[in-house]
Amino acid sequence: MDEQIITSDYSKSNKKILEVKNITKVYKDRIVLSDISFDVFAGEIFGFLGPNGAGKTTLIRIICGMTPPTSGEIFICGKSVQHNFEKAVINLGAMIENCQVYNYMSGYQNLVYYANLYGKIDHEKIDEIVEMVDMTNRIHDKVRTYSYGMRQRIALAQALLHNPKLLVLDEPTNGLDANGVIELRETLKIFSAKNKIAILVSSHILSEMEQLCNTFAVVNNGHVLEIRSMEEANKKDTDKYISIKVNYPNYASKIIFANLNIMPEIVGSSILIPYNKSTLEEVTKLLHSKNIVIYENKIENKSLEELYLDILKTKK
Amino acid sequence: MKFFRLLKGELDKILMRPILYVITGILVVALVFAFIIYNPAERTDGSITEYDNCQDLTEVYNTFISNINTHGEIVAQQYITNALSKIENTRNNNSSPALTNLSVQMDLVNEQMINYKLFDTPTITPGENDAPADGEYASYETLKTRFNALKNLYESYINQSSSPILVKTETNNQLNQLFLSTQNLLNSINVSSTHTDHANLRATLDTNGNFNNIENLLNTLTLKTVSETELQQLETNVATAQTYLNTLSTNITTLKDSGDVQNIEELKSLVIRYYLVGLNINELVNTATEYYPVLSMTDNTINSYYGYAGTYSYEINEDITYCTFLVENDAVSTDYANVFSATRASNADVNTFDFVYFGLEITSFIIIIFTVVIAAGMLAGEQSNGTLKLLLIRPYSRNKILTSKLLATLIFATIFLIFSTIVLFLIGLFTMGANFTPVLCIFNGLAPFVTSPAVVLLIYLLCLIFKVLMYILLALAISAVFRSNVAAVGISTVLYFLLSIFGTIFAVSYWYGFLPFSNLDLFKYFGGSFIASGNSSPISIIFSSPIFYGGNFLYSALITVGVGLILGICTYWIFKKREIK
Repeated sequence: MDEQIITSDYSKSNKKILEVKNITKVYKDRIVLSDISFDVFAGEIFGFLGPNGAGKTTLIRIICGMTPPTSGEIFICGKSVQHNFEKAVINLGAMIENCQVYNYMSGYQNLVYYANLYGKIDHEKIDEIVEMVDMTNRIHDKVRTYSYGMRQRIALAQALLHNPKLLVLDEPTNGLDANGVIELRETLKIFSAKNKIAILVSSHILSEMEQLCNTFAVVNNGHVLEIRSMEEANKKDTDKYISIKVNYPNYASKIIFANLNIMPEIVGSSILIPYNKSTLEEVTKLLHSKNIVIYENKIENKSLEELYLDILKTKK
Repeated sequence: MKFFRLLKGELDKILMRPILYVITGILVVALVFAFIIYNPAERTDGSITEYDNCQDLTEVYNTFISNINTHGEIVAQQYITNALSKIENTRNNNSSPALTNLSVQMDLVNEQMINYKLFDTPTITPGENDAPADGEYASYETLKTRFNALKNLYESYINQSSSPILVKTETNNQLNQLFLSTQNLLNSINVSSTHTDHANLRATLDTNGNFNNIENLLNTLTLKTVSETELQQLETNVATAQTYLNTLSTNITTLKDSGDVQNIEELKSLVIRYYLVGLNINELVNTATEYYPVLSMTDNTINSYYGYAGTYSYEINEDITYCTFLVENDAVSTDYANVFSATRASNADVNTFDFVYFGLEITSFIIIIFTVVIAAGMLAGEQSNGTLKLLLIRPYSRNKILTSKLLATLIFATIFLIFSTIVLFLIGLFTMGANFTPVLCIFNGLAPFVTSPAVVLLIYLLCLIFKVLMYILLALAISAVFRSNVAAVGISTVLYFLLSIFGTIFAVSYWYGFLPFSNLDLFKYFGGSFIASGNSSPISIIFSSPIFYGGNFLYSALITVGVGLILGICTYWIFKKREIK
């Protein structure tokens, strides 16, 4: 398991915020989580990926102290959630699956209610958060009149109110429109950078995660298959490929296979070849020699989706 | 400090719930309703109106004297004389040959009946005076004559055991049932006169389980008279009342002779009290024969009429304590203290305090139901609609969260109780005025204390808050177990309805006293006990939980606190272990 914990760049300069230590969760005879360990550092946006039923939500519940783990321990800012709950979760802000705020109160009253639980209510702070989640116009209306997306925004606002060091978001983009998703992403990025907080996001929409996260973990069947930082992923040669746009892609691919024994993928008028410095030279030479016109020639990173599928495939 | 923030949050949430408007609305309606149906005439003791129009002391006194002579059945002295003679007769009869004879005769009947039951058993050899031998079965007339004789015998015992001898109702009851069973036997013979063999005849006779019935009755049949100890106790009680009456009488004469017009209200009060003591004594002697556990009651008549033996015995204790206290303290003046009762105004004195007790019976009912709704909403409701998740991730342990919910609901209920008390008090104050004369309150039927009526009202409020707390615990426990708002509200309110409204019916069953929620109303041990007869209002009959046989404050308090603790511990434990999904 240890070799899977790849210390990301954040660990060098930043504080460890969340420590997940050997978490195992067994329901009757079903193992939902099996000995999971990883750390999340300040400033890190940690994406939690996995198919349905992989154990994402269970882990989030355990982190928030709503469900006790069968074994293992969670530390938030060094305080154990299991043994020192009150001290630990004071640094936690969370937006949990299917969570609801009180619909008979206005959005503002809800935020005041939650703020009160942490100490003196700072109305300026509330206004600031309300503006951040773009709810200024409707904040004094009753929550029951809100759309689903607006409720999500209020749920996000309540998680940010008390300056948490760790923000846990379970499927935060559910129900948000395209605009809302972009806004949320920007908000989180800014908030994370500004306040040096750690964010743990679980989602199944990989394209969103790709744009938001700087580290991601892939879980399946209760195991963490891989943890990678996006920067690191992009540095690895194996996660890159060469995309060459040519006039006769089918012909080109046959030539490449015949001469270099590499089977390229054809996407539209481009052929894709796994990245390798020498391959790039050889292929371009080969295509030139066969008089194939190269319109475009670039090295691309694999998308998160591809990486994810790769990981699921190879580590099953 | 941190916990208070949580508590404040919970209270704020309650105050923002739309249901609050509903509660306030219904409460206002209830307050108005209480005012409309409050009938001072119904709340006064004894509804004696003869003195209402008397203008001076002499007139009151003359009316009083004429009542002594003309109101034969309600006159105190008459009751006391009757009681004493009844006691004396019983004492004589207890050792008289007549009663001994009765016992012997009953034993004889027992033997005969058992033989009749077994008349087809070969091991029994019928004697001359025993069951008919095989050959006699053909003669149905013989059998009928035998049964008829038995029936008449029972009937005569029943008549014999009534006044002036005190025979416990239990015995009367059994004799009555024997009489009925024998009647059944006779009826069976009439319809089966075509029988030719004795097996068939026996089967017909036993159609309704007659033989078993009779055997059971005979096995348990005992002649229960009032024992010498009980008689002595009765005598002491009657003597206390007699002393009290004499003192009252002296005071009445002194007041009349004083000629002071200022004293007219007090004189009226004293003569009415004189009458009430008589009523109490009558009740005391009549119910002396019903001092037996509710357990043994089987007869319908007793259930419907004498079903409150426990309450009676408790109230008689209360009355005796009250008489004894006043006599011992030489305090028969009405200025000294009004005798307190929550279910009727004291000494015809209707004032705002009485109105508050009357009104609170209605409003507390509504407040408890809504408190249950709110408590369930705070736990089961938040669990099912998902808001609990966002509360559990706050820096508060689950114990604190549950405690805050419990306290917030309790505070809410308390605020509403105090609110309705104040409103009722003000309504009563402006329409009837307040009477701050100290009241004589009898705790647990035994311990008298004189205190301000405001203090008693405070005790009442505390008892109500205690009651509310138990229902909150119940609602929270059900919420924690079922996680369903509907179940929590449903089960708690149904229990509350059942135990409030049908408490008067259940009270006759022996298991009633074991029910934790029949012990909830502690105020009945402070003079708020239920009165089965007299002029209690329909409201108090419906909403009061009667004192069951042998009930006392400590028992009720311990049972309720015990059950409350169990409910509480279970709720905290379940809630702490609960995995929130």
